Amino acid sequence: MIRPVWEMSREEIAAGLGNGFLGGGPFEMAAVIGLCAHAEWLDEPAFRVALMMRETAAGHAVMIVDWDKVAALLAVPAEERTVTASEPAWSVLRFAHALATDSLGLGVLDARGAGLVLASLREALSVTLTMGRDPLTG
Amino acid sequence: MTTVQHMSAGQLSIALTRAAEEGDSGPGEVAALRLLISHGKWIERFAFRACCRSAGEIDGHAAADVSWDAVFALLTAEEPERSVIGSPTSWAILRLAHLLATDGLDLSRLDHSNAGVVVEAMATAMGWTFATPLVLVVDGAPR
Repeated sequence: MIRPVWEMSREEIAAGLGNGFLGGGPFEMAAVIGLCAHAEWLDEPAFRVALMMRETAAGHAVMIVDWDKVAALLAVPAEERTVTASEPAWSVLRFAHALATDSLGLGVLDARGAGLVLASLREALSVTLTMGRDPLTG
Repeated sequence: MTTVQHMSAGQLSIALTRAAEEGDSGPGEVAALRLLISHGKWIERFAFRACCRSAGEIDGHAAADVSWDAVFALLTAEEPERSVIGSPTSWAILRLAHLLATDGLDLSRLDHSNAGVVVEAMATAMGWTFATPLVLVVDGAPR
C-alpha cells in the first residue's frame, strides 16, 4: 500500500523521486536531482502537494512531480507568498522547473552548445566543476 | 571611430568584453557576453549587432554594450522573421544569454552552496556522466 506523501520523511521522498524520474528525460532527471540535493523543498508541504505517487505495473511505488503545480507555486507574486522558503530555495525551484519543462529550450543544443552553456553558468555563478567526462573531449 | 555595425566580429567581441569588464556589469552579464562571443554566430549577425551600441572609448579603445531590451524584442519577434536569422540552437543560446544578463532566473539570489546545486543539475541535464566522483569546488574549497 502506498503511504500518503505528507506522512513520508525527507529520505522517503528523495527515494521515491529517485525511482520516479527513471521514466523522465535527462532534463527532468537533472531537475529532480537538483531538488533532492537542495533538500529544502522536500520538507515543504506546499511542494509536497505537487508530488504524486504512482504504482507501476510491476507493483513498485514511484513518485513523480506535477510540474504544473510547481508552476502555480512559482506564479504567486513574492509579496503574496505564504510559503516560508528561503530566497535561494525559490531560485532553485524556478531553475528546476525551467529545466524539467525545458522552457529554456536547451534540449536542442548540440554538445558544443551544451558545453558553452554550462561554462557560462559556471562563470555567472562562480562555481567550478571537476567532472569525470566532458562530452566535448570524452 | 569605427561604428558597431562596421566592426569585425573580433573587434566587436573585444569592444563588448572591454565595456563589460571595465564597467559595472555583473557576473551574469559578463558570462552572457562570453557565451555569445564563444558561440560566435550572433556576433556576426546583423540582427544582434542592431542590439549593440557604442559605449565610447575606454583607454583609447572602442567599447560597446548590448541593449538587452532590444535582445528581448528580438527573442519575441514573429516566428517567420526568427526562422530566417537563426537556428534553434542559436536561439537557445541567445535566450539563455538574455536570462543570464538580466537575471531572469533569479540566480543572483543563490548562495554558493545552491549555486553548486544549480550548476550540477545543468551538467546532468547536458549529459555529463561522472566516471569519477563529482567534485564541486566553491570559492576554492571542495564542497
